[in-house]
Amino acid sequence: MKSNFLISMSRTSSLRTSFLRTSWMGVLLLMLALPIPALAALGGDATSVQQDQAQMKSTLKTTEAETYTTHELTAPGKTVVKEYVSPEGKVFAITWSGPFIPNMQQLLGTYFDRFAQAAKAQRENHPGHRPVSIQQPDFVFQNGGHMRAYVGRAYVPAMVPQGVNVDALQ
Amino acid sequence: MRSFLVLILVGTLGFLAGCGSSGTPVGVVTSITLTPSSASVDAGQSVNITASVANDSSGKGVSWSLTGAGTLSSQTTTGVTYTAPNPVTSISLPSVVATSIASSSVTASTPIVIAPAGTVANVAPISVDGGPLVPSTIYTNAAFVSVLLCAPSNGACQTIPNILVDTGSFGLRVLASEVTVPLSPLTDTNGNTLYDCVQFVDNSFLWGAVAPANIVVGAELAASTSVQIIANPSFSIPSGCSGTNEDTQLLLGANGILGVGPEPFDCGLACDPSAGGTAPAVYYLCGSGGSCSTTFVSCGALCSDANANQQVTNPVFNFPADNNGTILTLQAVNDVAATVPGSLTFGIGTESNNALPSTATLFTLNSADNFTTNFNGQALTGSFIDSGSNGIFFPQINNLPNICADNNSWYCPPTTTAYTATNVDPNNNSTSNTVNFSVDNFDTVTNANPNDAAFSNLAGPMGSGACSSSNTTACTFDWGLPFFYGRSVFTAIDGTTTPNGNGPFWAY
Repeated sequence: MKSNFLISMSRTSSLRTSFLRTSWMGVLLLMLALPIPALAALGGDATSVQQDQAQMKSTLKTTEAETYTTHELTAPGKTVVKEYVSPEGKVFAITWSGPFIPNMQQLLGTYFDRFAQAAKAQRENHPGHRPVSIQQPDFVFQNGGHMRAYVGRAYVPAMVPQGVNVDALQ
Repeated sequence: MRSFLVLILVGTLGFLAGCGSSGTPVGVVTSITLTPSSASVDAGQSVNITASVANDSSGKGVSWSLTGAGTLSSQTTTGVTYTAPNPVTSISLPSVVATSIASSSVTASTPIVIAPAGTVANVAPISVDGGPLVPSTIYTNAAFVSVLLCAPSNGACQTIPNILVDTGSFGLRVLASEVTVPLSPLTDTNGNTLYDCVQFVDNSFLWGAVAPANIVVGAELAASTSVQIIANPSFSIPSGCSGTNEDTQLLLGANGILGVGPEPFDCGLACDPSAGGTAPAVYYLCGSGGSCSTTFVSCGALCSDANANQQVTNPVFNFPADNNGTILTLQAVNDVAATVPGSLTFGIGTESNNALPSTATLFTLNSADNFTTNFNGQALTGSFIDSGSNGIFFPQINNLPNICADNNSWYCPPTTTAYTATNVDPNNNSTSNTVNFSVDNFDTVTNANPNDAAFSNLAGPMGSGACSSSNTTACTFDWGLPFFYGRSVFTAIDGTTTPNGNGPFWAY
């Protein structure tokens, strides 16, 4: 486990006053046991990666590029979720690929409501089933695929580290 | 997570109350096996049915009864003759029911398809007509079919119209609010009910119990096939099943979805107990108190599982014949049409009406059931044909075409724009077919034709930017329903054989 996870975990606002930094293991165990974490993945601190891992009962692999860190989670059923963390410790992009759609409420965090509202508005504007595409200045969501083979991504343009091409993340 | 439990069908297999798992008391009838287990009979014709009763120590056999049209004759305690009426006036599914004389709670039935003379059994009419909410809401570019849904327990049947024909999913799902026949959900030996969570690409999900049903489409029968009863159960939906719950006709835009894509099962091996580890968030066992846990469910012989398949299953795969695929055909549309007639034909190369023409191009598929579409100078390796998508969807490149400001899921180019794309077999990288299509301004064409259901030139974004291993959303091309206008699209099911090769494949 990387030490910067522990630091950002202790920064986690809602838990900050309740736990000392030295009790990080207790925090981690408690977080694993929490039902739906209030913390976000997209736009949130890197700690949320571990929450996602617990929620998805997934395995986690971490790699580092020069300007960001990639956390790759493989959920039961082999859907792969990648969460991209900026040097500031924020999840600026998420991608997924595999037979099942991951839990968007968990992965999008505070952006979930905007996603759900936009998807709902598109349906109400014109009924029918089709991919979701949301192009807002500060939130992009795209997905596609069919049953047993889904792909998608979401990112926050303002949080993408300078010089990073969001179409070519590793 | 609970360990896998073999699910039993309460009420139809006829286990006696109190037997449970402690073993069967000697001399108590446990089950009846009927031969044939299902049949198809022409007007005025007959079929002989025999019964074999397990553990019937007194040798009393069965008594016979009939639900639906026809007559029974030559009844004995081991056999009966069923004769269809003449003429038959409509497609229906009478059931011959055998009841154990020694133990009247044990029954079994043989459902029999009867159809009017001249019926082409393997063809179901379909229609792009706006769906069940017309005229208040028109579901554009969606093909609908009627399904005869019957309860195995008592033979009761109902016709459910306005079911979306979807080559992008697998299995039949119907709204509980539309179901009037008594379907019995699958349960485990502890009384937990089996539920299915299906998530679709538009952030919608369907949650509901899994129940075996006898399904007739055209005049073909899928007997005792697991369907999802889309419901809003009394207990909370697991957090792993998230999105917009499409549990009403208004939200779904249909009475159900008939998934006839290139797979037999909605989950397959990933949900079979042989997958090991944690079960994916697809099947759940839920107690009466409302607590749910993910579970594995067998997909049967095709998954090398000795237990019978109980996953939600593409009904075509369970037909006794014409079960290797489908042909979805729609009349051509010149930009806009009020409604469009078409057909869903069952089987590929199994009858005189379903041979693959020599002019067709056949594409085998990759492991994700995709082929490759070359478009805008890129090879989009995650491409597919999906009648359940109500437009053509492809990545936006260099900010073109323009995305509609009022609805980001559609393109709004200033004027109708022509495009070319080439579909390629992903396995030999050589078989190919070039498709020309056009993209209308969505706002303009739909506003100008508010009462029409068919639009051949509607398209929207699926991903953007350059296709890469980290931007796979931009490596997809979705040939949705408009692709079917003026075409016959063949979909061969994985695990089946055809005269043109093994499934899965697409051909058109």
